[in-house]
Amino acid sequence: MLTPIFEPHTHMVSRVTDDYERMAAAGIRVVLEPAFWLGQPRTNVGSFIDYFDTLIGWERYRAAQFGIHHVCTFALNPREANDQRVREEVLQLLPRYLEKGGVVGVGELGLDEMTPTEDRVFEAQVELARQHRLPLLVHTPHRNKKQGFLRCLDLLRAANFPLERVLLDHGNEETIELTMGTGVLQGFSIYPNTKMDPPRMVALLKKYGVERISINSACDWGISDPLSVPKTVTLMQAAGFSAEAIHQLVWRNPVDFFAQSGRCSETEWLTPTEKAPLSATGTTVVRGGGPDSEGCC
Amino acid sequence: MDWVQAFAIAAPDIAALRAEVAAVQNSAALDVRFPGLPRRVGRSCAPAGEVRLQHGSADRGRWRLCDVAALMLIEKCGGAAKAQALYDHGDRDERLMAARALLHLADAAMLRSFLSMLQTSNDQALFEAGFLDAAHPAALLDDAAWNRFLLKAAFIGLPLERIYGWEARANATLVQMLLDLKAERMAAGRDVWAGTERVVAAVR
Ligand SMILES: [Zn+2]
Repeated sequence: MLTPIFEPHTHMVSRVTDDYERMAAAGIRVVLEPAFWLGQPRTNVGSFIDYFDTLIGWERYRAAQFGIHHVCTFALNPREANDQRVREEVLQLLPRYLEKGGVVGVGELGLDEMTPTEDRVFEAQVELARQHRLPLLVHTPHRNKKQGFLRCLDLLRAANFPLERVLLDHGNEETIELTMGTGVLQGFSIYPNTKMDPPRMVALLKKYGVERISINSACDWGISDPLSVPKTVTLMQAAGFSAEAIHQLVWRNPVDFFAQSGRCSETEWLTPTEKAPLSATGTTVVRGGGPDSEGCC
Repeated sequence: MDWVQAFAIAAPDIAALRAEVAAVQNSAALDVRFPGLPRRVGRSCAPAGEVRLQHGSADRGRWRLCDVAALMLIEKCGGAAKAQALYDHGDRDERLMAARALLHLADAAMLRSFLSMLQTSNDQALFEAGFLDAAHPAALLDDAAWNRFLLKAAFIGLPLERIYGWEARANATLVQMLLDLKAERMAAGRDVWAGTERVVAAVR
């Protein structure tokens, strides 16, 4: 029996439809797409507006064609937080986007180079999460990772933000020692080369269990694998993990965490998406839509 | 216009709509309140019947409570340009609300250009909201735009019954387009649009 999978960190705008097809076949029911940078700096706020609109518009629609629910989080990412060309205007944009349907958190905020400006933008967005009653999806630095985790925890505690409403992402064998028992949901990105790989992840799960842990692919335009969560599940099965433990790791933990947003529910996520477009009343499926109706070109 | 009356909104829902209108005093506040309208007032539809809009009547039973709330709010804070901006930066629910508001708030030129943008939409729900169940397309579109609309409706299989004024606007060019589509579909062994013969008969 295939467990449903909630994949809590994907950048689907950079993936092709084959990926959606394979993800759906592997049991992925929900993808969460946190707003992040696009590989190179944006030079004006308009690029953010169009990117945000794409996530709630076309990308959500595209995912639904493959039976996958697409939810997202919005934030000013830590890399571009350092860029004065966009910083203030993007922060001003967020209240409006954080109220959208299907927006289940503030993210990826976080730290990258750990500059004072990143701290300030981090704090401002923690405040936004409080105002809009949303959980946080926090990106941690690739370099100087342990210090980055400690700094994030300091900032969150100083802001008195409830840690059960924080997903601290991109962890590894070292950072879990810092986050165990803090109450945060500990995220691990299974990303070839730079982060974790499936065998390392399974070894870590053997040692620490699945409590307050969540795994994701963080798939994007880099060398990454949108199937790394189901592949890890296969390795877990081979290693003798129970179906319950696997279900908790890849469904229960992320579902409970993001349901804290109050914007979506497990029942909704277990209901198949309408593969053909909804009619205007949202109740009946009309004929003729879907990927083979008109196409884009 | 008293929209609550025009859409025959049921008593228990009226308070929710009035509360939304009272909560928003300006365009900036509307930006933040707008996405949550479906969550707060709901998506259930108004009772069947006709409502008079600026460019002709429409089936009010296709309008959801949040659509009516959106019309009231946008009329209060910003008008047609605001509706267009909300459409441009909205998700599907927001776009449906903003599109319906535009059907009433936009002048003829603006509504024509909005429809020509919707004509290319990949999202069928948005296309339906702009073109079906209302009299404005037949009133506003020239023959070329009207024929493009009908051909797309046929192509994606929308019911002819939901196209207001189709009989009066049938024309020889459109018939040729539909017959070409029919031939293409038959050659491919696919279904032919159910409305084809009736449009053809209307021109004969
Ligand atoms: Zn990411």
